[in-house]
Amino acid sequence: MIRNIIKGGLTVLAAVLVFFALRQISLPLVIGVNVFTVAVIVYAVSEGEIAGALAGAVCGLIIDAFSLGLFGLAGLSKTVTGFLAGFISRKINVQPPGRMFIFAGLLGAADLALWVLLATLIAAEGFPWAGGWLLVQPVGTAVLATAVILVLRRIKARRAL
Amino acid sequence: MPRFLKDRKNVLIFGGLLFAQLLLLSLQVPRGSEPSAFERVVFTLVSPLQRTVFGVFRGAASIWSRYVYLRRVESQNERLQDEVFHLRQENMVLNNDLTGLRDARELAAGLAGLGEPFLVAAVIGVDASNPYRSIVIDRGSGDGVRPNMAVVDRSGFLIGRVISPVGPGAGTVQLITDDNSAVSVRSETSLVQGILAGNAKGGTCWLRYVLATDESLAESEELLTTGFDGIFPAGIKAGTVESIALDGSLFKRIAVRAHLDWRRLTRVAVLTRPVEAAPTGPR
Repeated sequence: MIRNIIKGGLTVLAAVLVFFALRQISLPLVIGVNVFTVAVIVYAVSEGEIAGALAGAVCGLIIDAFSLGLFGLAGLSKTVTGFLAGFISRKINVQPPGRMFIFAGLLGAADLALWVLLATLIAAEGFPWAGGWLLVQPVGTAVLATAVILVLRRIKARRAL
Repeated sequence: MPRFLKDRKNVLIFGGLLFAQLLLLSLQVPRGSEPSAFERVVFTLVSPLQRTVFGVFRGAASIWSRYVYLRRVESQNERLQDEVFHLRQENMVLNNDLTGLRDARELAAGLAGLGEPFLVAAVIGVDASNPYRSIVIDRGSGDGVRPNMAVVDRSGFLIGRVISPVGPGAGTVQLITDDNSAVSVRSETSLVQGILAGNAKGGTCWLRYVLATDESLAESEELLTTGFDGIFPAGIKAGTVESIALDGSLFKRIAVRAHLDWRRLTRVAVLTRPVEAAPTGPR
């Protein structure tokens, strides 16, 4: 239990650090790749739907704390994304890289769509299209999520040897 | 724990999480409420991380450019010396031109009008969901930064105002391109007044409440703050009129290109004069 909490905390911390670091490198990268969604998907696939939902809630609330929008919008969408990621990955095999890419891409798109929907319905907010970079987000998120999962799997396999 | 609860534990926890966040959202509707204590706590806890990452990147960039990547320093130095020489000449010519165009009294009055105490701050982050809405600066309540202080860029163009939450070492600045931003402005030559409102979709602004019958405003005209809102000092340049259209309503549809370029925002100045009448409008 404590180990899981520490693991989740480290995942969220890594996402926060990478997010702030990306801002220093390039602004379109911040919009093109949602590192918080990546962290939620990776953690949910590894730990299950409840852990994913909790990580999603924490990541979302951190995003909301650094945004002027309604506090809880991103939290809600990320919670659903985390739960779905954990739940679906238990039902179907998403381990092959190709499947993982499609799975992460679809979840990234669902997360974005849900956030846009909630922001439109509840807050009537505009979106940072940034020359279309927002539309690239599901693909960027899928690429990074697949890469992270593959790297983690390789590290795990080496440790097992 | 009863068996039926145990069987549905995952769904119950998930439902509880969703319910808690919906509750959080519903507490903030209608919009315009101050940030909750929870939001302030999250901001205060995470903003030091942002400062650390910013510091690490600045340090790494400094080490790289000052101690490692010195390949072109000599040629760069020569080029810069040439540039300084030319700029000095240009500066002298421009100063002479300026003296010829304005009398000394008018110039002194103009400079005195813009003279505001300010605090230089580095931009350490952007709005996590929409970069056109807000930025985070490395100055906070510990440096004397308070909500509703106006913020300008290094050229003196209007960027926005400080809003809550303001942490001890970091503050949030609402950009003028945010949907909820409203700045009282007037055009420089025709003196048409309106409200400069943000358009966070594209990083531009709208000039609102200019009557459709008003023919005096022209495209490319400069917009300056009036100071009527009690937040932004008068005379700060905010943007230029990009297009004027009629859409059949009572008011004109006027698009404004804001001077702020959020991609180049690295350092800003917070105008630290005391806020006179701080309105408690939407964040």
